[in-house]
Amino acid sequence: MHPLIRYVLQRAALALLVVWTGITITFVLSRLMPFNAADLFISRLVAQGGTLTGEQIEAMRRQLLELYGLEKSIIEQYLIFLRNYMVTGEMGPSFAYFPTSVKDVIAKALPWSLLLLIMTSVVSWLVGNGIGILAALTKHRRVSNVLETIAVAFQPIPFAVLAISFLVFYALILKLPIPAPGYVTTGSAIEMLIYMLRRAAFPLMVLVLFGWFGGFVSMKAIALKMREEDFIVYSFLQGAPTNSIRYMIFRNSILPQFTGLVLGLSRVFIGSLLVEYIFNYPGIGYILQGAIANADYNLMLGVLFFATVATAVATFILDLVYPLIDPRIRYPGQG
Amino acid sequence: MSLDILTVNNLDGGYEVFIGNRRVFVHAVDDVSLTLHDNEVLGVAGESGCGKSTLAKMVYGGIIPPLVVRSGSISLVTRGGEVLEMNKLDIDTIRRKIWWIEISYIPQNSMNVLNPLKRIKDQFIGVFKYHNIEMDKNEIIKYLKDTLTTLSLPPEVINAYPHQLSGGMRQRVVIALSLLFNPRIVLADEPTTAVDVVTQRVILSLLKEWRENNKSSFILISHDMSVHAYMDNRIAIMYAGNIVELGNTFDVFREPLHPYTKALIESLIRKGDKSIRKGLAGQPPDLINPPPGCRFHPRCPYAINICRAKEPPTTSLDKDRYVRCWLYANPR
Ligand SMILES: Nc1ncnc2c1ncn2[C@@H]1O[C@H](COP(=O)(O)OP(=O)(O)O)[C@@H](O)[C@H]1O
Ligand SMILES: [Mg+2]
Repeated sequence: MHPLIRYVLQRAALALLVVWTGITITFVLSRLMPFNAADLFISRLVAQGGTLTGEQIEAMRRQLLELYGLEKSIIEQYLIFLRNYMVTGEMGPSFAYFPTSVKDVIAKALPWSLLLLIMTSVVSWLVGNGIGILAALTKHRRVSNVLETIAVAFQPIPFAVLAISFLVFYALILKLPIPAPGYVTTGSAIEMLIYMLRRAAFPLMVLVLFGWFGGFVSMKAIALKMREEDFIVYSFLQGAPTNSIRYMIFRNSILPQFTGLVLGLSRVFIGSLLVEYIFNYPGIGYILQGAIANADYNLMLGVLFFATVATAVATFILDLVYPLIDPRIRYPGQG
Repeated sequence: MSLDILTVNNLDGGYEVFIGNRRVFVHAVDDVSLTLHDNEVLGVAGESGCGKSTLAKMVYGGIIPPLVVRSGSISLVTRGGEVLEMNKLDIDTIRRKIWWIEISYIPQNSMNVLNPLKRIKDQFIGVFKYHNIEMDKNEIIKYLKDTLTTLSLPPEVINAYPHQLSGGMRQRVVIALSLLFNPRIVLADEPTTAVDVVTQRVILSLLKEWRENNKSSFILISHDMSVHAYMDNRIAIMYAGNIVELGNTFDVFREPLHPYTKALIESLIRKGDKSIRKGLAGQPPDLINPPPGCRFHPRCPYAINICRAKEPPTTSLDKDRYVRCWLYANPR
């Protein structure tokens, strides 16, 4: 087999392994919970004051157990769970949006989330790295030091905390309006996209506001170190004009940052879920909130599954793309 | 009579560094005066830590902090016959008019100075661009292949990235880069450290041939006296920031005057000599607090009282021969 094909297959297998591990952990966690989906559903019905007799409840419980496959042995449940998630994509019905299937609920929200997530990662990355390199090359040390202080102070704070603090600040202190929820379901694809982008603009701004620190701090550090590298000094001594040297510093510093771009996707994930909810942005975060509020555990599992898949896919893409951009990393079997 | 194409007068400088919070000055080049003739190799010898590389950087004009120049002047006669006071020019003029065109530089760690992300040929093309020199790409490639072949490198090297080459190959690529525009002066700082003795000899003889064909001059820095014996027309011996002796290579090797020069030459292995070489005991001094008087006195077997108290004067013995040592400073 060609080594390149083997490499791709290996990486793909690794990604599958990650997904499988994720599913297994999810499964184990869900079965370790002291209650199951059927009991939960019924207890909610009862709590809502439904007038049901004991037999009716028992019948319903059995039906639900069957629906969720909970009456089978744990091994069988696991195998079915695996098959459903990894092969057929059937993740059962959602409670919160009963009887819509989890698959459909997620499928509807996913494009929204992906749009926001990808735009956030890319824009934050561009902004962070852009001002990072400028800060490293500028003569205005004061400005760049102030930026660095801010970035270093905020960077370790979890994204979720930042997002919530921002909301408190925005809604309770500044008392600014929060956009209304709702989907537009008609219109051409272009109109839809424009609508989505408009809806995404505000959460995007908020996410980028807190998303640039990481890129900035690491870019500035890398570029400052790069300035002193032997080959940069050598180019200077060869008579390279300042702009060529700047470009060289940029080109060599940006490479390691691509990892940040792809991994940023997963870092932003939870934060963006929160921000979606906060701004009524109809993505995964919004439905996850619904899922949590309604104890919709199928839907939660589905969302978790997507988070796992997203991380695995991102890593896989990174593995494949790196040798293209950095000549020091080669595919096996290549010159 | 040969023309002086580079004149260095009273050059003095070093590194301003912090040890903890204390600011100290590493006085690596102490009042050095030198001339470089047209069409010659001037060697600079001395143990490591004597300030040879610092002298090279200062002469080249590549002053990057913490290096500072405290005083001195450098004048250069270009191929066009123009006399330039290098210390009076701004860095941009030096960059455009002098570097690589009049003087090129082979830095000490030359095997590690190539851009890791660029193919060898693109690094050469880059240098043309830095100096706005138009040239046909195919012509460059052809020229490159020839140059690399003269340095006994396979022509395929041009398509390689630096990490695909050995240290010795990279070093030769950097040497080839420095010869690109046929500069009048090449400042070579330990140009053959990454190669074995056999390859070293091959490269040195190629450099020699190139220089003789181009009538360029070299300032060749090396701690290795056998390299100097093979290459130099004249040799300067550097110790702790001072030039302690300078003369024609033949004269210096035949009759070294300064005790330090004697020690350096004695440590060489001569043909047919089976006795164990005695090295010089001790190390060059700390340049933050150099010893008073002659900086060599703590290691000098001939040291007398005055050596510990006063810096020795420069004693000229000949037009092109001088020594800085109290033993030769007779007050006649
Ligand atoms: N960047 C630097 N910062 C501080 N001190 C330095 C630096 N480079 C060299 N030195 C010191 O300057 C002195 C001379 O060094 P160098 O010129 O490299 O000597 P050589 O080339 O003869 O080995 C040494 O004491 C060395 O430690
Ligand atoms: Mg050196």
